[in-house]
Amino acid sequence: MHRSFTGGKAAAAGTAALLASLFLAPDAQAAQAGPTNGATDGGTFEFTEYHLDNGLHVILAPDPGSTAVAVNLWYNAGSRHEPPGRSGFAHLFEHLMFQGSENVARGEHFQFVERAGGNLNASITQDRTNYFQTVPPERMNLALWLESDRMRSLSVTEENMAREVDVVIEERRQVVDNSPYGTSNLQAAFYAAYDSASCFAYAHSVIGSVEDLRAAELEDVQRFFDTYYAPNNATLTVVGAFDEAVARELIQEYFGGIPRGTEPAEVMCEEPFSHLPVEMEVFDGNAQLEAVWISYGAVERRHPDAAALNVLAQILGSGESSRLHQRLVRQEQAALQSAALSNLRLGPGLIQLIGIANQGVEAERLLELLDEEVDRIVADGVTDQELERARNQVRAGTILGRQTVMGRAEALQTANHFYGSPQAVHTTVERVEAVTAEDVRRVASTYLTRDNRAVIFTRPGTGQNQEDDR
Amino acid sequence: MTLSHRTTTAAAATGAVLLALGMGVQSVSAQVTSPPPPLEERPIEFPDFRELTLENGLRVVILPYGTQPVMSANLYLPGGGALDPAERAGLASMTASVLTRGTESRSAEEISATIEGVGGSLNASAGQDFLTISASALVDHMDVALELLQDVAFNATFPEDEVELTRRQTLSGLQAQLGQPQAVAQQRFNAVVYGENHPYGRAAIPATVEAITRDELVAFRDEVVHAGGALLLIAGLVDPDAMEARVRELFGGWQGGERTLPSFVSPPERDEARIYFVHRPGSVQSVFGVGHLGVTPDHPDYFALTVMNRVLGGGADARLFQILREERGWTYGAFSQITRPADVGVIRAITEVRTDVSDSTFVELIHQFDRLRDEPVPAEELDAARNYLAGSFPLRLETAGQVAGQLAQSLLLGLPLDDVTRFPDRIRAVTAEDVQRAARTHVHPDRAAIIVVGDAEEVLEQLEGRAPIQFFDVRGEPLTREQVMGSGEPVAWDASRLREGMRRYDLYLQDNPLGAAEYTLTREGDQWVSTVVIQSPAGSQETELRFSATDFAPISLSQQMGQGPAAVQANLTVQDGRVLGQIQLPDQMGGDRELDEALDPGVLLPGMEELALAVADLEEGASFTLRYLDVIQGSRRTIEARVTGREEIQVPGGTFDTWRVELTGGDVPLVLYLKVEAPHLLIRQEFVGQPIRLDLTAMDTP
Repeated sequence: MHRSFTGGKAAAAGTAALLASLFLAPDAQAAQAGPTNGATDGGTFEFTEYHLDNGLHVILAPDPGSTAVAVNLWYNAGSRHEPPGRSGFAHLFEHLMFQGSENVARGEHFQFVERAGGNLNASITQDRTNYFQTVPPERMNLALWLESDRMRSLSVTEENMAREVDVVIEERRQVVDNSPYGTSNLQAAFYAAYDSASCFAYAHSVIGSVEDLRAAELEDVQRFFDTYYAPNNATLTVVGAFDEAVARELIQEYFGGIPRGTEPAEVMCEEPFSHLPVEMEVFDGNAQLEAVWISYGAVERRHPDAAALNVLAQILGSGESSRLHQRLVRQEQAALQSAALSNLRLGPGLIQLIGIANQGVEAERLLELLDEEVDRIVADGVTDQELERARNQVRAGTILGRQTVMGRAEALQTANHFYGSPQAVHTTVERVEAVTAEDVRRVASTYLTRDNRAVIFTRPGTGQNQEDDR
Repeated sequence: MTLSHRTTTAAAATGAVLLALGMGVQSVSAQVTSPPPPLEERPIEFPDFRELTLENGLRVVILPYGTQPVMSANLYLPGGGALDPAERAGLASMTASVLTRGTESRSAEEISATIEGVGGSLNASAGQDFLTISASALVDHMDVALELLQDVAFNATFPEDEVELTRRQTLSGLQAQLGQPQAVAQQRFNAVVYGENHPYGRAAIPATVEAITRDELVAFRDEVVHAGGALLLIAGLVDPDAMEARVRELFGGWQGGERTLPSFVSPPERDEARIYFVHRPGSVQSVFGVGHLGVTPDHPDYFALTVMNRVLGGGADARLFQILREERGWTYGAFSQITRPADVGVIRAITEVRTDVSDSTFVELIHQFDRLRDEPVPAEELDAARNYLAGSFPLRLETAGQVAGQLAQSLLLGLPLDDVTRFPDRIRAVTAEDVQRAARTHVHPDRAAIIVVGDAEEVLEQLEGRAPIQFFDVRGEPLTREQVMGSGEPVAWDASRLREGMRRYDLYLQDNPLGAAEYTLTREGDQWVSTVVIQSPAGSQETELRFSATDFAPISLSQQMGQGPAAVQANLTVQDGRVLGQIQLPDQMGGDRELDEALDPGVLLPGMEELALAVADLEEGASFTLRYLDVIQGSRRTIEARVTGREEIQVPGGTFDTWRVELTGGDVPLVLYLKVEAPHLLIRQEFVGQPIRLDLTAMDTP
């Protein structure tokens, strides 16, 4: 049920904010090379890690200076694990996790946590599902117990499932079908960018298709639970105002008896970009302005080029002094907004450039300008000042993101899931500082090429779109 | 079904997964089967802060707090959108935007490069009541942030080109907002509940943004941006003595002045529940905003209403979410809120539901408002609400920024500080009687404004008879029911008023010629034959339309657009009230297909709208509903044409006395200038929001 707590408050925020939220659509993590990574210089914190006998990976970061405790559980289960015909299933499952378990009735998870003064939510990407609650210190045990109960035994009925399918379909309508650029966003991040035959894992969207969702059956739920919601496929992180010995004891008590599951199969994603280049139009009755989306095939987060790609995205698209903003928005006044996203993943990811046109400007013009800016980096490289800015932005973003117990918990989980160890929280700034101007130029010329990309033009108004949710 | 890791193997093997239900679960260690009691509580206090007032009147609050080396400085200046004159709505917001775009010593580029170079941020924005300039950075760069904040507050120069750039972005932003149903609903709600005379009821529109001058921005800045009445709030891991000294250095010499919150006119009194229906053709959901005015920020019932709101829709545990989403599955989210601006706030519920449950949603929302008045909140729910609000207090004290935000609202609105620092006590003191009494005083479903943004053709029938309905388009322009639904009666256009002839037009993009068009109308027996040939860089387009020379009934349409794989071609004929034929489309638009669609009487084919208007009885204020079949989509479209004025215009083909006619409901809103003298031939066509127009260059029609 990710994002629902804020989703209802359609505040009168400025239009810039409205579009900003678009760029942070659930299916793309933005080019914040920062907030979910680590730092050598400020933002560091102590933690310990260990495994239970059943394989549950536990990371504890006690901090007596906090006012709250984050209990944060990541399952290695995302839309990448869905087979064809079951798109949207991992996300549906995330909803079902709130439908009750052996000792917790439907809806009670919300009730217990909120009545204790806590906040909770869950979210899913192509690469993982997280469940998280921030609670007052004395209710850490409640959050741990609730997570253990649904890891041990989830309760689902036909009726619950049918209703959650309805809820997810409404979510899809709100986020995609009734929302400007919703469809373009999915094309850019999934369908058009990845080859469906060789990498179905990323060639379909997290939200899935209405048809597949309607086809979900209880047997599928059972199979998914068996495979992905076992302790040996999960990492539990606790951060904040708690006593480590107490936490260890509680975790053993609540989670220790849950049996290990079988190891999930590897996800295949070979040659995901062999179908590129691709160019297409999306007709969007909700959109009022033309837009262009470019997705370049890139690498996985752990790849040696990932840091340089993050810096490249930062220099191109982060802030008003970035190249795209300066050129498209200010000098040419062709775009209302521009962005560069480093949408890297557990498997091969994307570098995305996006421009939303000003009134009367065609998307093709934005494509020309974006190409010129990429060409300029390939030809002339980037300046020391730009590198310095990118480093400072990463460092600041990292530290800002770690102000809250939940921010620190997510940083540990991200380091563990994408970089193989929570120790990676200590090296984010190091990774970025190692990037040279030549590295940035090199990755731009290697990955940001015309034959390695999907280009999507958004046309306001109606027209027949390709049916896409494979 | 209970899915258990212990029993899954057997269950899955037999396929009888339901057997897992109720099967005994034996644990290795004793399983805990009920929620554990709370651990030992850790006392948490609201942090201390330093408060001082400089001689020039600037109030300063320094909050040394946090665990990470970050700091933020927010300068709050009384006077936001509430000070905008009605015909300049958007003035405060534009002033704020341009404030950071150049000072006496720095260009816009230098400002953004300086702050972003250290990984910090600098923003200025205008809300309803305050203009706020915010700067943040890591503490090792905090002086960069403070110095820039001071510079833009003292020395902004409002460069002409930055004003124009901001204007353009604001206009594009307004355009983009029209595509956001939630934003449309919110704007309509405010307009209805506060009324046009109250500043909270107004919103920037293109006309007001276009009218704002640079001098007005400077004057607004001079009026609002000075030390008098302002609050500077600095929070983070800072040394309060050093910070106080630095603040005195930077802001001690700032000019003072008089500034307090504006006084407000009273919003209109409501005496009935009413539906304000915003027609958004093609909408796949209905967006609801239901509510009315609430209380002023200092009202003694504020805390009772806060608890009430939590019960109604303040979270996932609340009634709206539990009923509309968890029980019914109608929506992804349903919430309520009470707002607390400087003047009276609102109480409202918000949700987006699938179109076919619009009536049930209406009934349920009103019922839930009624319940708050009619029954005391049961003890369990009351405890749940109070426990959440009071219990989450420590979670709102995690960062310096969070604490500062709470302090700011209290200080700016002149509320007792205890309301913030002792918030849990205030909440725990609220009883079920307080909530019901507050609901009876402040919640009035029988006077609610019910905003619905959706497709009238899908939804309207469900809502009719439940409350009086008023109609609007997404821009807020009033519509009639007939305009929204298309009138039931076929419109009788008199085709005999047309005249044979030929007209030529030039197509312009930003005043540069882009292409040309030729329109020909000839009579063949009892048919009119209209041909249109357009040449532009986007390709050529040729259309031939045949229709009855008496009543406009369509006979055939053939159209050819573009060449090669992107070509669109249609060959359609009308037989026995159906449109039949072939449409060839590029693959990405769905490829070729056969068309077989009903064509109701009075419904036109695309391209006939302009000819129908040529014979219409045009006069000031007249409006017409034109219906046509979108042959590509296979759907019926409704266009509203409204005569909005009479203008003499000059085009290459001459000077003409014209009716200005606005067309909405098509793919792109259009403005047509039609000759006053009948037949009302097209003299100029403009595409709203785009720098494209078509101008008459020659015609041989008498």
